[in-house]
Amino acid sequence: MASELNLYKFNDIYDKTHLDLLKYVVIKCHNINDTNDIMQEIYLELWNILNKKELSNINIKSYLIGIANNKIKKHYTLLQRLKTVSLFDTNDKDIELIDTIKDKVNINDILIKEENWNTIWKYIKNKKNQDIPKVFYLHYKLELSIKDISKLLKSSESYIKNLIYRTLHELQDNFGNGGNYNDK
Amino acid sequence: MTNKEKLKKAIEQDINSKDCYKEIINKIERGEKTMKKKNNNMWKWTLVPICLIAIISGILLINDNKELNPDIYKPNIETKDNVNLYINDVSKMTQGVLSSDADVKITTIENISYFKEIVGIKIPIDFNNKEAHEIYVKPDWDSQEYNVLQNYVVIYSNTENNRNIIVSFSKDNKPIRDYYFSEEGSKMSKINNIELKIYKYNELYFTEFNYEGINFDIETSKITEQELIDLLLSIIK
Repeated sequence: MASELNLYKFNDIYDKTHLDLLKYVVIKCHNINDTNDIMQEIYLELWNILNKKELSNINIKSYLIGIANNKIKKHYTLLQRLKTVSLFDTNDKDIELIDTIKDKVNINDILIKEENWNTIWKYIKNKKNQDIPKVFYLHYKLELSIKDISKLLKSSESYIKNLIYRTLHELQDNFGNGGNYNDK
Repeated sequence: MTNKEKLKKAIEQDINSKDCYKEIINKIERGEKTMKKKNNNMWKWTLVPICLIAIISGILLINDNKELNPDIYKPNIETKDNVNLYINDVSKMTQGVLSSDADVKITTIENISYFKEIVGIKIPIDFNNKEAHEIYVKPDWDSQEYNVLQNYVVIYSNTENNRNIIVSFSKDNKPIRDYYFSEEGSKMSKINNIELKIYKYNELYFTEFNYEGINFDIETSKITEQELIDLLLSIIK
Protein backbone atom coordinates (compact mmCIF):
# COMPACT_ATOMS: atom_id res chain seq x y z
CA MET A 1 0.00 0.00 0.00
CA ALA A 2 1.36 3.39 -1.01
CA SER A 3 0.66 5.03 2.34
CA GLU A 4 2.63 2.32 4.18
CA LEU A 5 5.62 3.00 1.98
CA ASN A 6 5.15 6.71 2.59
CA LEU A 7 4.86 6.09 6.33
CA TYR A 8 8.20 4.29 6.21
CA LYS A 9 9.75 7.25 4.38
CA PHE A 10 8.01 9.69 6.74
CA ASN A 11 9.33 7.92 9.85
CA ASP A 12 12.81 7.87 8.39
CA ILE A 13 12.71 11.61 7.69
CA TYR A 14 11.16 12.34 11.09
CA ASP A 15 13.86 10.40 12.91
CA LYS A 16 16.61 12.19 11.01
CA THR A 17 15.21 15.71 11.28
CA HIS A 18 12.90 16.21 14.25
CA LEU A 19 15.55 17.29 16.77
CA ASP A 20 17.01 19.95 14.48
CA LEU A 21 13.54 21.11 13.43
CA LEU A 22 12.38 21.34 17.03
CA LYS A 23 15.38 23.48 17.90
CA TYR A 24 14.72 25.68 14.86
CA VAL A 25 11.04 26.14 15.72
CA VAL A 26 11.82 26.99 19.36
CA ILE A 27 14.27 29.65 18.20
CA LYS A 28 12.01 31.13 15.53
CA CYS A 29 8.55 30.96 17.11
CA HIS A 30 7.07 33.96 18.86
CA ASN A 31 5.67 31.96 21.73
CA ILE A 32 7.16 28.71 22.95
CA ASN A 33 3.67 27.42 23.74
CA ASP A 34 3.08 27.17 19.98
CA THR A 35 6.02 24.83 19.38
CA ASN A 36 4.07 21.56 19.35
CA ASP A 37 1.36 22.95 17.06
CA ILE A 38 3.89 24.31 14.58
CA MET A 39 5.89 21.06 14.59
CA GLN A 40 2.71 19.13 13.82
CA GLU A 41 1.82 21.50 11.00
CA ILE A 42 5.27 21.08 9.46
CA TYR A 43 5.24 17.29 9.46
CA LEU A 44 1.61 17.04 8.35
CA GLU A 45 2.60 19.20 5.39
CA LEU A 46 5.51 16.83 4.75
CA TRP A 47 3.08 13.89 4.87
CA ASN A 48 0.80 15.54 2.32
CA ILE A 49 3.76 16.25 0.05
CA LEU A 50 5.04 12.66 0.32
CA ASN A 51 1.65 11.44 -0.83
CA LYS A 52 1.73 13.67 -3.88
CA LYS A 53 5.26 13.58 -5.17
CA GLU A 54 8.63 11.94 -4.93
CA LEU A 55 11.13 13.84 -2.80
CA SER A 56 14.41 12.83 -4.31
CA ASN A 57 17.72 14.61 -4.74
CA ILE A 58 16.86 17.30 -2.23
CA ASN A 59 18.37 18.29 1.08
CA ILE A 60 15.42 17.22 3.20
CA LYS A 61 16.50 19.26 6.22
CA SER A 62 16.68 22.48 4.19
CA TYR A 63 13.37 21.57 2.58
CA LEU A 64 11.73 21.17 6.00
CA ILE A 65 13.27 24.43 7.22
CA GLY A 66 11.53 26.08 4.24
CA ILE A 67 8.22 24.52 5.26
CA ALA A 68 8.90 25.56 8.87
CA ASN A 69 9.44 29.18 7.82
CA ASN A 70 6.12 29.20 6.01
CA LYS A 71 4.25 27.56 8.86
CA ILE A 72 5.72 29.93 11.45
CA LYS A 73 4.83 32.95 9.32
CA LYS A 74 1.33 31.69 8.72
CA HIS A 75 0.89 30.83 12.38
CA TYR A 76 1.16 34.46 13.34
CA THR A 77 -0.62 37.37 11.72
CA LEU A 78 1.46 40.43 10.95
CA LEU A 79 -0.34 42.20 13.79
CA GLN A 80 0.85 39.58 16.27
CA ARG A 81 4.33 39.74 14.78
CA LEU A 82 4.49 43.51 15.10
CA LYS A 83 3.28 43.32 18.68
CA THR A 84 5.94 40.82 19.64
CA VAL A 85 8.86 42.50 17.92
CA SER A 86 10.82 44.46 20.48
CA LEU A 87 11.10 48.19 20.07
CA PHE A 88 14.77 47.82 20.82
CA ASP A 89 17.54 45.90 19.18
CA THR A 90 19.66 43.50 21.16
CA ASN A 91 22.16 46.13 22.25
CA ASP A 92 19.34 48.11 23.81
CA LYS A 93 18.27 45.00 25.69
CA ASP A 94 21.67 45.02 27.38
CA ILE A 95 21.21 48.64 28.38
CA GLU A 96 17.80 47.78 29.75
CA LEU A 97 19.34 45.15 31.97
CA ILE A 98 22.31 47.05 33.33
CA ASP A 99 20.40 48.06 36.46
CA THR A 100 19.11 44.58 37.10
CA ILE A 101 22.22 42.47 36.80
CA LYS A 102 22.09 39.77 39.44
CA ASP A 103 24.90 37.80 40.95
CA LYS A 104 25.71 34.52 39.30
CA VAL A 105 23.50 31.80 40.59
CA ASN A 106 23.56 28.07 39.92
CA ILE A 107 20.24 26.35 39.39
CA ASN A 108 21.34 23.48 41.61
CA ASP A 109 22.02 25.86 44.50
CA ILE A 110 18.58 27.36 44.66
CA LEU A 111 16.26 25.95 47.28
CA ILE A 112 12.91 25.08 45.84
CA LYS A 113 10.01 24.66 48.21
CA GLU A 114 8.12 22.19 46.11
CA GLU A 115 9.36 19.45 43.86
CA ASN A 116 6.88 20.47 41.19
CA TRP A 117 9.14 21.55 38.35
CA ASN A 118 6.31 21.24 35.87
CA THR A 119 4.75 24.31 37.51
CA ILE A 120 8.09 26.08 37.38
CA TRP A 121 8.50 25.34 33.66
CA LYS A 122 4.94 26.56 33.07
CA TYR A 123 5.85 29.77 34.93
CA ILE A 124 8.98 30.20 32.79
CA LYS A 125 7.33 29.50 29.45
CA ASN A 126 4.54 31.97 30.07
CA LYS A 127 6.94 34.87 30.64
CA LYS A 128 6.12 37.93 28.57
CA ASN A 129 9.69 38.08 27.28
CA GLN A 130 9.69 34.87 25.29
CA ASP A 131 13.48 34.93 25.06
CA ILE A 132 13.42 33.57 28.63
CA PRO A 133 11.75 30.19 27.94
CA LYS A 134 13.78 29.90 24.73
CA VAL A 135 17.01 30.41 26.63
CA PHE A 136 15.95 27.94 29.32
CA TYR A 137 15.00 25.36 26.71
CA LEU A 138 18.28 25.76 24.85
CA HIS A 139 20.42 25.89 27.98
CA TYR A 140 18.80 23.35 30.29
CA LYS A 141 17.14 20.98 27.82
CA LEU A 142 19.58 21.01 24.92
CA GLU A 143 22.49 21.93 27.17
CA LEU A 144 23.84 24.52 24.77
CA SER A 145 26.42 26.99 26.00
CA ILE A 146 25.55 30.63 26.58
CA LYS A 147 27.86 31.52 23.71
CA ASP A 148 26.01 29.22 21.31
CA ILE A 149 22.62 30.45 22.50
CA SER A 150 23.66 34.07 22.01
CA LYS A 151 24.54 33.26 18.39
CA LEU A 152 21.29 31.39 17.78
CA LEU A 153 19.15 34.16 19.27
CA LYS A 154 21.32 36.90 17.78
CA SER A 155 21.82 38.49 21.17
CA SER A 156 24.81 39.23 23.33
CA GLU A 157 26.14 36.73 25.86
CA SER A 158 25.55 39.21 28.68
CA TYR A 159 21.89 39.46 27.72
CA ILE A 160 21.50 35.66 27.80
CA LYS A 161 23.33 35.41 31.12
CA ASN A 162 21.16 38.07 32.67
CA LEU A 163 17.98 36.38 31.51
CA ILE A 164 19.09 33.17 33.17
CA TYR A 165 20.34 34.67 36.41
CA ARG A 166 17.45 37.05 36.81
CA THR A 167 14.93 34.27 36.23
CA LEU A 168 16.70 31.92 38.62
CA HIS A 169 16.49 34.62 41.30
CA GLU A 170 12.80 34.93 40.54
CA LEU A 171 12.38 31.18 40.93
CA GLN A 172 14.12 31.36 44.26
CA ASP A 173 11.84 34.19 45.38
CA ASN A 174 8.61 32.66 44.11
CA PHE A 175 9.16 28.95 44.59
CA GLY A 176 11.82 28.86 47.29
CA ASN A 177 11.09 28.69 51.00
CA GLY A 178 8.87 31.64 51.77
CA GLY A 179 7.80 31.93 48.16
CA ASN A 180 4.10 32.21 47.56
CA TYR A 181 3.60 31.50 43.87
CA ASN A 182 0.18 30.09 43.06
CA ASP A 183 -0.40 28.22 39.85
CA LYS A 184 -3.89 29.17 38.85
CA MET B 1 18.08 14.21 40.94
CA THR B 2 19.47 17.75 40.70
CA ASN B 3 17.31 20.82 40.03
CA LYS B 4 18.85 20.99 36.56
CA GLU B 5 17.77 17.43 35.80
CA LYS B 6 14.30 18.08 37.23
CA LEU B 7 13.85 21.11 35.02
CA LYS B 8 15.11 19.20 31.99
CA LYS B 9 12.60 16.44 32.70
CA ALA B 10 9.76 18.97 33.07
CA ILE B 11 10.67 20.56 29.73
CA GLU B 12 10.87 17.14 28.06
CA GLN B 13 7.43 16.23 29.35
CA ASP B 14 6.02 19.39 27.78
CA ILE B 15 7.94 19.62 24.52
CA ASN B 16 9.11 16.35 23.08
CA SER B 17 9.32 14.75 19.69
CA LYS B 18 7.68 11.48 20.81
CA ASP B 19 4.33 13.02 21.79
CA CYS B 20 4.50 15.28 18.76
CA TYR B 21 4.98 12.22 16.53
CA LYS B 22 2.02 10.42 18.15
CA GLU B 23 -0.19 13.45 17.56
CA ILE B 24 0.92 13.71 13.92
CA ILE B 25 0.23 10.01 13.30
CA ASN B 26 -3.21 10.35 14.95
CA LYS B 27 -4.02 13.23 12.67
CA ILE B 28 -2.76 11.33 9.61
CA GLU B 29 -4.88 8.29 10.55
CA ARG B 30 -7.95 10.43 11.14
CA GLY B 31 -7.39 12.02 7.74
CA GLU B 32 -6.97 8.62 6.03
CA LYS B 33 -10.13 7.25 7.67
CA THR B 34 -12.05 10.21 6.28
CA MET B 35 -10.58 9.52 2.85
CA LYS B 36 -11.50 5.80 3.04
CA LYS B 37 -15.04 6.69 4.06
CA LYS B 38 -15.30 8.96 1.07
CA ASN B 39 -13.90 6.23 -1.21
CA ASN B 40 -16.38 3.64 0.14
CA ASN B 41 -19.25 5.96 -0.57
CA MET B 42 -18.10 6.15 -4.17
CA TRP B 43 -18.99 2.44 -4.70
CA LYS B 44 -22.63 3.32 -4.26
CA TRP B 45 -22.37 5.19 -7.53
CA THR B 46 -21.18 2.29 -9.70
CA LEU B 47 -24.40 2.32 -11.67
CA VAL B 48 -24.15 5.96 -12.53
CA PRO B 49 -23.80 6.55 -16.30
CA ILE B 50 -20.27 6.71 -17.65
CA CYS B 51 -20.68 10.30 -18.72
CA LEU B 52 -21.32 11.35 -15.13
CA ILE B 53 -18.17 9.53 -14.00
CA ALA B 54 -16.26 11.39 -16.71
CA ILE B 55 -17.54 14.68 -15.32
CA ILE B 56 -16.46 13.70 -11.79
CA SER B 57 -13.03 12.72 -13.10
CA GLY B 58 -12.76 16.10 -14.75
CA ILE B 59 -13.55 17.82 -11.47
CA LEU B 60 -10.95 15.71 -9.68
CA LEU B 61 -8.36 16.68 -12.25
CA ILE B 62 -9.17 20.34 -11.75
CA ASN B 63 -8.93 19.86 -7.99
CA ASP B 64 -5.46 18.35 -8.39
CA ASN B 65 -4.36 21.57 -9.99
CA LYS B 66 -5.21 23.47 -6.81
CA GLU B 67 -1.66 22.73 -5.69
CA LEU B 68 -0.41 25.05 -8.40
CA ASN B 69 -3.26 27.43 -9.05
CA PRO B 70 -5.52 29.42 -6.77
CA ASP B 71 -9.29 29.07 -6.76
CA ILE B 72 -10.56 32.19 -8.49
CA TYR B 73 -14.02 33.63 -7.92
CA LYS B 74 -15.88 36.90 -8.19
CA PRO B 75 -17.22 38.24 -4.91
CA ASN B 76 -21.00 38.15 -4.74
CA ILE B 77 -21.26 41.89 -4.22
CA GLU B 78 -22.84 44.53 -6.39
CA THR B 79 -20.26 46.94 -7.71
CA LYS B 80 -20.11 49.75 -10.20
CA ASP B 81 -18.97 49.28 -13.80
CA ASN B 82 -15.50 50.63 -13.03
CA VAL B 83 -14.92 47.83 -10.52
CA ASN B 84 -14.07 44.35 -11.72
CA LEU B 85 -12.95 42.07 -8.92
CA TYR B 86 -11.55 38.58 -8.66
CA ILE B 87 -10.46 36.86 -5.47
CA ASN B 88 -7.52 34.47 -5.85
CA ASP B 89 -8.04 31.98 -3.03
CA VAL B 90 -4.69 30.39 -2.22
CA SER B 91 -5.85 28.59 0.95
CA LYS B 92 -5.40 25.18 -0.63
CA MET B 93 -2.18 25.87 -2.46
CA THR B 94 0.66 23.71 -1.26
CA GLN B 95 3.23 24.92 -3.74
CA GLY B 96 4.46 28.31 -4.78
CA VAL B 97 3.96 29.81 -1.32
CA LEU B 98 7.22 31.11 0.06
CA SER B 99 8.35 33.58 2.63
CA SER B 100 11.41 35.66 3.21
CA ASP B 101 13.07 36.89 6.37
CA ALA B 102 13.47 40.58 6.94
CA ASP B 103 14.97 42.30 9.92
CA VAL B 104 12.96 45.24 11.03
CA LYS B 105 13.08 47.80 13.74
CA ILE B 106 9.76 49.30 14.69
CA THR B 107 9.24 52.66 16.30
CA THR B 108 6.06 54.46 17.11
CA ILE B 109 5.52 57.62 15.11
CA GLU B 110 3.43 60.67 15.50
CA ASN B 111 3.76 62.48 12.22
CA ILE B 112 4.30 60.96 8.83
CA SER B 113 4.31 63.45 6.04
CA TYR B 114 1.99 61.58 3.78
CA PHE B 115 -0.38 60.01 6.25
CA LYS B 116 -2.88 62.32 4.63
CA GLU B 117 -2.92 59.83 1.78
CA ILE B 118 -4.83 57.40 3.91
CA VAL B 119 -7.09 59.88 5.64
CA GLY B 120 -10.66 58.90 4.90
CA ILE B 121 -9.83 55.23 4.56
CA LYS B 122 -12.97 53.24 5.23
CA ILE B 123 -12.55 50.78 8.06
CA PRO B 124 -15.25 48.69 9.78
CA ILE B 125 -17.15 50.65 12.42
CA ASP B 126 -16.36 48.20 15.20
CA PHE B 127 -12.59 48.82 14.92
CA ASN B 128 -11.42 50.55 18.06
CA ASN B 129 -7.66 50.72 17.77
CA LYS B 130 -5.10 52.34 15.48
CA GLU B 131 -1.33 52.02 15.60
CA ALA B 132 1.37 53.38 13.34
CA HIS B 133 4.89 52.17 12.79
CA GLU B 134 7.94 52.91 10.71
CA ILE B 135 9.76 49.91 9.34
CA TYR B 136 13.51 50.27 9.09
CA VAL B 137 15.88 47.84 7.43
CA LYS B 138 19.64 47.45 7.39
CA PRO B 139 21.39 49.02 4.39
CA ASP B 140 23.20 45.71 3.87
CA TRP B 141 23.52 42.32 5.54
CA ASP B 142 26.69 43.18 7.40
CA SER B 143 25.41 46.40 8.88
CA GLN B 144 24.34 46.55 12.52
CA GLU B 145 22.22 49.66 12.06
CA TYR B 146 18.60 49.71 11.01
CA ASN B 147 18.68 53.12 9.42
CA VAL B 148 16.95 52.81 6.05
CA LEU B 149 13.28 53.68 6.19
CA GLN B 150 11.52 51.03 4.13
CA ASN B 151 7.86 51.80 4.63
CA TYR B 152 5.13 52.83 7.03
CA VAL B 153 2.54 50.53 8.57
CA VAL B 154 -0.80 51.57 10.00
CA ILE B 155 -2.81 48.93 11.82
CA TYR B 156 -6.53 49.27 12.41
CA SER B 157 -8.07 46.62 14.62
CA ASN B 158 -10.83 45.48 16.87
CA THR B 159 -8.87 44.46 19.95
CA GLU B 160 -11.64 42.20 21.21
CA ASN B 161 -12.00 39.87 18.25
CA ASN B 162 -8.68 40.18 16.41
CA ARG B 163 -10.25 41.62 13.26
CA ASN B 164 -7.70 43.88 11.70
CA ILE B 165 -6.54 45.74 8.64
CA ILE B 166 -2.83 46.42 8.11
CA VAL B 167 -1.99 49.07 5.54
CA SER B 168 1.67 49.28 4.59
CA PHE B 169 2.75 51.99 2.19
CA SER B 170 5.70 53.88 0.84
CA LYS B 171 6.45 56.33 -1.93
CA ASP B 172 9.97 55.10 -2.45
CA ASN B 173 9.84 51.35 -1.83
CA LYS B 174 7.60 48.37 -2.06
CA PRO B 175 6.50 47.66 1.51
CA ILE B 176 8.20 44.68 3.09
CA ARG B 177 6.29 41.48 2.77
CA ASP B 178 7.35 38.40 4.66
CA TYR B 179 5.38 36.02 2.50
CA TYR B 180 5.11 35.41 -1.19
CA PHE B 181 2.44 33.77 -3.26
CA SER B 182 3.17 32.38 -6.65
CA GLU B 183 1.20 34.54 -9.06
CA GLU B 184 0.84 31.66 -11.47
CA GLY B 185 -2.75 31.28 -12.54
CA SER B 186 -4.00 34.25 -10.54
CA LYS B 187 -6.35 36.80 -12.04
CA MET B 188 -6.09 40.58 -12.02
CA SER B 189 -8.81 42.82 -10.57
CA LYS B 190 -9.42 46.38 -11.69
CA ILE B 191 -10.72 49.33 -9.68
CA ASN B 192 -10.98 52.70 -11.40
CA ASN B 193 -8.40 51.56 -13.97
CA ILE B 194 -5.92 50.53 -11.26
CA GLU B 195 -4.87 46.90 -11.61
CA LEU B 196 -4.37 44.80 -8.52
CA LYS B 197 -4.37 41.17 -7.52
CA ILE B 198 -6.41 40.19 -4.49
CA TYR B 199 -5.42 37.02 -2.67
CA LYS B 200 -7.27 35.16 0.02
CA TYR B 201 -5.71 32.74 2.49
CA ASN B 202 -8.29 31.31 4.88
CA GLU B 203 -9.52 34.38 6.82
CA LEU B 204 -6.84 36.69 5.43
CA TYR B 205 -6.95 38.90 2.36
CA PHE B 206 -3.82 40.35 0.75
CA THR B 207 -3.37 42.83 -2.02
CA GLU B 208 -0.78 45.25 -3.32
CA PHE B 209 -1.02 48.06 -5.82
CA ASN B 210 0.36 51.46 -6.73
CA TYR B 211 -2.01 54.39 -6.50
CA GLU B 212 -0.91 57.95 -7.29
CA GLY B 213 2.76 57.10 -6.82
CA ILE B 214 2.35 55.32 -3.50
CA ASN B 215 2.98 51.60 -3.16
CA PHE B 216 0.32 50.02 -0.99
CA ASP B 217 0.38 46.57 0.54
CA ILE B 218 -2.71 45.56 2.48
CA GLU B 219 -3.24 42.55 4.72
CA THR B 220 -6.55 41.97 6.49
CA SER B 221 -7.78 39.40 8.96
CA LYS B 222 -11.35 38.30 9.59
CA ILE B 223 -13.01 41.06 7.60
CA THR B 224 -15.78 40.42 5.10
CA GLU B 225 -15.50 40.70 1.34
CA GLN B 226 -17.77 43.75 1.48
CA GLU B 227 -15.51 45.41 4.05
CA LEU B 228 -12.49 44.65 1.88
CA ILE B 229 -14.12 46.18 -1.18
CA ASP B 230 -15.23 49.26 0.80
CA LEU B 231 -11.65 49.65 2.04
CA LEU B 232 -10.14 49.42 -1.45
CA LEU B 233 -12.68 51.80 -2.94
CA SER B 234 -11.92 54.33 -0.21
CA ILE B 235 -8.24 54.34 -1.25
CA ILE B 236 -8.49 53.90 -5.01
CA LYS B 237 -10.89 56.74 -5.68
